[in-house]
Amino acid sequence: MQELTDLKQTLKTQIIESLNLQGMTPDDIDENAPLFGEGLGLDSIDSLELMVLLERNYGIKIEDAREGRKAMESVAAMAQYIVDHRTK
Amino acid sequence: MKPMFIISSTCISPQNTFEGLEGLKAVNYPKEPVYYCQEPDFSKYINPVQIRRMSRALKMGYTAAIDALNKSGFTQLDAIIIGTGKGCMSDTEIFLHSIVEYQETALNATHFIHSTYNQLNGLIALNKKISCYNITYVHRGFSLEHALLDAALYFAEHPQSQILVGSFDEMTPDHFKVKKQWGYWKEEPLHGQSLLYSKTPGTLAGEGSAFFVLSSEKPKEPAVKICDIQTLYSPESDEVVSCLNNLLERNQLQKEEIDLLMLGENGDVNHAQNYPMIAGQFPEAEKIYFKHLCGEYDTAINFGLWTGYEILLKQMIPESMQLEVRSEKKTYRHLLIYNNYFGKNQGFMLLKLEN
Repeated sequence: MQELTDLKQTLKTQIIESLNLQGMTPDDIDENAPLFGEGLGLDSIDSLELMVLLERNYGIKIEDAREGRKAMESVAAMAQYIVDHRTK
Repeated sequence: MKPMFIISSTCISPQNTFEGLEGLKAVNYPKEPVYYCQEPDFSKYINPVQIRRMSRALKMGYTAAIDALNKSGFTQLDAIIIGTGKGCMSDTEIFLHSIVEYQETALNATHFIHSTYNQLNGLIALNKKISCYNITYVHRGFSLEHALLDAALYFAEHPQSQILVGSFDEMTPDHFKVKKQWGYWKEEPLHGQSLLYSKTPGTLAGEGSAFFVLSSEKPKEPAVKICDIQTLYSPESDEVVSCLNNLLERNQLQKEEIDLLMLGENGDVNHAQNYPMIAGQFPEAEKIYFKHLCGEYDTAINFGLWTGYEILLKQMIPESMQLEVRSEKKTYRHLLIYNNYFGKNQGFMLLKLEN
């Protein structure tokens, strides 16, 4: 449980750095809010950057677009996907 | 060449030129042999979602282009023509580093997209919803000259047009390091006259962005027009003089009619030989210099063109651009720029003030 909480915090920091979300802190990101559209308001180029983030940091390569959409619904969903699929 | 009137312009440079020619009264000199730009508040021109993805070069280019367009009052354009020697170097470098670090896997899309030379053209067109002739010239030391020549060709075919022309280039630590190993830069930063009088190889590195909105029709108020542009690739000295004479002849000008001679001298003794020869052709003209204020880069001529335009329009020469200040005040009508980019890319630009 603690491991998942720590992972969500780390993930928030990595998202901010990877997407250069200037002026944002991990506390500004609601872990259950949608990453795309509403919520954080990310777009399709950001989704490519998040896929690179997953591959570089956790060894996860998402081939199926539908699976990718589900995995990147929110920070909480991403963290759970990482726990289930990480290779490093 | 079809004459082109400059309707408006904006320059982002190592000096405070974003505020206009007055920004050259207080000169910023670098502590290293490399100049970096004074950056305006980009957030006034670029939305927060886009700005977080943009490199400095893109921000400088986009802001200068949009500011020039805003000043012109035009909402539509007939062509967007941009020159860049190296494009967005920082994005290119990050992308290349990633290829090595991640062994050609897991590469960032953003840096790849932004490393393409025509990124700025696309960004301006998409954000301002201007779909028109849109082209990028990547011709190293002739990039801006060729963008301007293309604008002149466009005006010849479409006389009632408004065209945005400009150039941008950025200096990065890696780019500086590579060219330093080839001897392009001086070991120490020399300031002002010390650079221009220098007798050692190399110069100061620089960067900048300048944009111009052009029209083939003269506005009601006094305006500066670009009368002629001539480029020469690796010429012999006698070819430069012959080219100069041809340029004056086809513009029906005597040498005494050139009021101001702007020289792209950069303090590099290896490529300085033509400057005294050109200066000697115009004993009457006041000599002005610009590369000690912006450094050297592929499109450094943009700083010269912008200052030349401002000087003619405002009839004022910043003291920082002169080696000797003349006491008598005269009207400046014709300004000739001679530029030499490391010996290979040389050429002239002729500007004229029309009342």
